[in-house]
Amino acid sequence: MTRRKTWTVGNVAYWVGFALFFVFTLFPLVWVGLMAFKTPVDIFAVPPKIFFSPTMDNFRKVLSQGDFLNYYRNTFIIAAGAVALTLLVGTPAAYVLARQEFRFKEDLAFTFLSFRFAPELAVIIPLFVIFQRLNLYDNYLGLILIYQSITLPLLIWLMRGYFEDVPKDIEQAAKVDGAGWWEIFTRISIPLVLPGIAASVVLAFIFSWNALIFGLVLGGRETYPVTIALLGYMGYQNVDWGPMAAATLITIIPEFVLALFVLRSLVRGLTFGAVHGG
Amino acid sequence: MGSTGTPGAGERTSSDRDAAIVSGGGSAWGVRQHYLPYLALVPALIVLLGLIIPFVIGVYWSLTDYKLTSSLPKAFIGLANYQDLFTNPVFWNSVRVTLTYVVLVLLIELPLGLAVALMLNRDNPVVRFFRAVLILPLMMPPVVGALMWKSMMTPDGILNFLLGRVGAGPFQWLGSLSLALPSILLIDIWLYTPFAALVILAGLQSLPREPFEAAMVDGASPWTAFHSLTLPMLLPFLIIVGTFRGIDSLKIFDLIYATTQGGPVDATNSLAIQAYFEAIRWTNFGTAMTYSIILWALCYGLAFYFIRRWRKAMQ
Repeated sequence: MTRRKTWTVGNVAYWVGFALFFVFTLFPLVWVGLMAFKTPVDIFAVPPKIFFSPTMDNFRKVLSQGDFLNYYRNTFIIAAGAVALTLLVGTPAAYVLARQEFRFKEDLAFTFLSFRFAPELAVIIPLFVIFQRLNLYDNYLGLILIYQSITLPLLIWLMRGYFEDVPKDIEQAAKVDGAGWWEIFTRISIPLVLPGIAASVVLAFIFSWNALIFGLVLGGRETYPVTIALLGYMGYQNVDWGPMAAATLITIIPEFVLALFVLRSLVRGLTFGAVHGG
Repeated sequence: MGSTGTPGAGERTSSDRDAAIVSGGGSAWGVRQHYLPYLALVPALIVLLGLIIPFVIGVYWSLTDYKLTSSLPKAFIGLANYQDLFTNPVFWNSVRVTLTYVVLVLLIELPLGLAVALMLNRDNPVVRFFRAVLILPLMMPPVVGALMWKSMMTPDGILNFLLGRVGAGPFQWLGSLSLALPSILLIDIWLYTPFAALVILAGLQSLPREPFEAAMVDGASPWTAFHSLTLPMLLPFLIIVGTFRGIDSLKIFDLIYATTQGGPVDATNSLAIQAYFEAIRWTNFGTAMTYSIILWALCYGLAFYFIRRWRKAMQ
C-alpha cells in the first residue's frame, strides 16, 4: 500500500517536472513563431494576444526590404565554403590520426582540438589587421579560412572516431590483396564512413551558420553573415520585433531540417566524438 | 604482394615492405607507403599554422602598446599591459562577471541537465517527442536564442505579463543592474541545458544493467543505487558537459553582445566583451590582446583541469 502511494507521488512529481521543463523549452519557440505572423499592433497588445488574424507582412518586409537575402546568401557561401575546404583538408588528416602511429600524434590531435576551446578573439583580433593587409578583410575567402577554426577541429575529431570504428581486418584484407594506402583510404574506408561524413558535414555547416564573432570582426558590408543581419533589427531604442521574428524563422528552419537527418549522430557530434550513441 | 588466404599473409607482407625499405627502396611502393600518410596531414597542418601564426603575433601584441589609430609605431613594453590590467577595476569587474557566470552555469545546468536526462530515460511517445524538441535550441544561433528572449523580456513583454498574473514583478530584466546577468544566465540555461541533458542521457543509456540488478537483490534503495552506482558511472559524461559548458561560458560573447553589450553600466561586461570593445571601439590592440591572452590562459587552465579529471574518471 505504502509502496504504491510513493510510486504515485513520484509519478506526479515526474510529470510536473516534465511539464514544467517542456513548457520552458517550447514556449519561447511558439511565442516568437507566433510573433512572426503578427502586426505591430498585435505584438504590443496588452494583454498579449494568443489569438489574432495572421499576416505575412513581416516576411514580405524581410524579403523585400534591406539586404537580408544578401546576408543569407553570404552565410551560405561562407558556411558551404568552409565545410568544403575542411572536408578536403581534414578527412585525410583524420584518417592518418586514426590509423597511423607516430610521435606527437596525440599532441597534434589536441592542438587541432584546442582551437575549439580557445577564445576566438585571440586569433581574430590579429587577423583584423593581417587580413586588411592581405586583402582578405570583408572577403569570402578570408572568412572561409577563419571558419576553419570552427569546422576543422570538429571534422578531424569526429571523422577520426568514425575511421577508428571501421574494423581493421577489412583494411588489412585489402592490404594483403596488394592495395596501396591511398587506395584503401578512398575505396574502402571512405565509403564505410559515409554516414559519419554526412553527420560531420551537417554539424559543421550548422555551427558555421550560427557563428557571429568572426563575421562581426572580419566581415563587412559585402560579407556579413545572417546573424549580424538579425542584430540589425534592433535599433537603439526600438526593435522591429515582427520582422526580426520572421527573419529568425527563415534563419533557423533550414537548420532544423538539416538536423533531422543526423539525429542519431547528434550527441556524438556535439561532444566532438567523446560520447557515442544517444 | 604476398599470397592471400594463408594465416601468415599479413605478417609476411609487412616484412616484405620493411625489406624493401632497408634495401634502399628497390620498389618505390614501400617508401611511398611510409611517407604518404604524413603527406596527407600537410594540408591540415598548413591550416593549423594559419591559425597559430596570428595567435603568436597576438601574444607579441599583448607585450606592446599597439594602438591601431596611433601614428607612432608600436613599442615593446614587456608585461606593462598585464600590470596595468591587474590594477584596473574594469579588468577585475570583467573577471568577476565572467567567473560568476561560469560558476552559475555549471551549478545550474549540470544538475538540471541530470534531472532532465533522468526524466527522459524512458521510452514512450511523449518522451520521444520531447527529446526532438530539446534539439531545437541546440541547432539555432545563440544570437537567435538571445533575441527571442529579449523580445519576451521587454517591460510590457510576455514574461512580465505572465509573472504579473501570479503577483510577481514587473522586472526590468536585461535593463536592471542586478538582473541583467541572471537574465542572460536564464537564456543560457534555455539554450544549453538540452546539451547537458542529451549528453547525460547518452551516458544513462550506456550504463550496464548488472550492477543495478545486483544492488536490487542486495536490497539497496533507489537513492543508494543512484548515489553509489549511477553518479560515479556518469562522472565521465558530467565532466564532458562541464568542459564544454565551462569553457564556452568563460568565452561568453554572443549572448551578451546580442542583449546588453556589457551593460547596464558594466554589469555584464565579460572578458570577451571587454576584449572586443578594447579592440574594435577603442583600437587598443595591445590591451585587447592582453585581455584575450588572459582569457585564453583561463580556458586552457579549465580544459587542463577537466581533462585530468576525465582521465581519472575513465580509469
